[in-house]
Amino acid sequence: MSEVATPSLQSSVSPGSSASTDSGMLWDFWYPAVRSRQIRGRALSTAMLLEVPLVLGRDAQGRAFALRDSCPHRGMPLSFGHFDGITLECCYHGWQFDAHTGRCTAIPSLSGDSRLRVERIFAGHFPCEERDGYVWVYMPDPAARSGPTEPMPPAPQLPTFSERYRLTHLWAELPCHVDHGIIGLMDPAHGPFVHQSWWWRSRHSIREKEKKFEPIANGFRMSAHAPSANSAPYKLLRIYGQPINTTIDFALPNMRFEQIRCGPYWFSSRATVTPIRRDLCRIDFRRRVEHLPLGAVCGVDLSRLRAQIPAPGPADHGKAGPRPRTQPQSDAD
Amino acid sequence: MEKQALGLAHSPNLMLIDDADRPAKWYFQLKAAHLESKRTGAPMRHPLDGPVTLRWRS
Repeated sequence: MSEVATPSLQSSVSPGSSASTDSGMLWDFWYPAVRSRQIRGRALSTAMLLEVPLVLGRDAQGRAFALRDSCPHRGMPLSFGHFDGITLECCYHGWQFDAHTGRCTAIPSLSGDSRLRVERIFAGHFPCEERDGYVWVYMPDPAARSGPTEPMPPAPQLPTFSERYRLTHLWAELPCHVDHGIIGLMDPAHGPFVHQSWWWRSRHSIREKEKKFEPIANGFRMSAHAPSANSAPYKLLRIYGQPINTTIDFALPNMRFEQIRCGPYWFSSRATVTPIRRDLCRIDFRRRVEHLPLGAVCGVDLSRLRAQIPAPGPADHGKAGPRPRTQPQSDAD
Repeated sequence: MEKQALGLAHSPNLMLIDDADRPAKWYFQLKAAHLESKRTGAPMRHPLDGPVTLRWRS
């Protein structure tokens, strides 16, 4: 039985308008900006979240910070400036800003009798937390006139079940609105057509599925269940001869979280689809494998993910501008 | 996704069908409920009021 659906599905977004709620991106949430390893020493790194350019770095104590990558004076990207471990100096007129608060601490051009209240000038600054090898940045709603009305939640973190674990990471940029990336994450019906392999699944292995879902805070859960017989990682896990149980959650703004338990072994993964611009998002897969010799399983599963996103072909279909980095990148920590 | 983006660039009308696309519908309903809750200050009205069973072929 089919039903024509939602009028809220965006097939395109209008370019050019300013960052705001009408871009379909959600403010007042944490988003992963960069990998922790991308900011080392006093070097600066850049990122974009919800069309906001960011400059990120670490202070002398190693604590991460994120500022809007734009000097409030004349808009010069602060990432071109100099960072001494405490303050970031704009390369244009040498204005200096505290890296964590964004407060202006010096304007070299001011004469001794200037009455300008330098300390009242701020570069945009954003809360930062490091979790699971990412620098997460909290993006407050720019439309809110006062500060946040509710206490800021902690940044998301993969749960830990033991001291022995291995983290792996895979990511790719997707040239579409974040909504399309997210509904791709929760789409069960494309598997037999996109994730095919002779040993796992094809259109001939399609079978009837029935799953229970329940509401959770800000999302929903595919209730704990024994996985389908034609599901790849689960097929491999059966070699351990232990009962397998899996739970999959989705929660706003962008997070799919899966836990698999196979006897004494745990496997958890989190996928986030992060809005960069209204026409570009980035998908990150973070997996934690605990007490389980699952290197081979991870490798197989990641290869399926690579297959999902085809390599750029010779034809560019007339698309202008730089290509997003859709070649998945992976590594283990 | 890159192939799909080529099609999305032309602003096609799109569909979500039951039951396989029901989670996608919930996603859009959750977004709308969240924004409405922020706008009004009222508690968020969750689109699911209890357990639901979905069926599809894959």
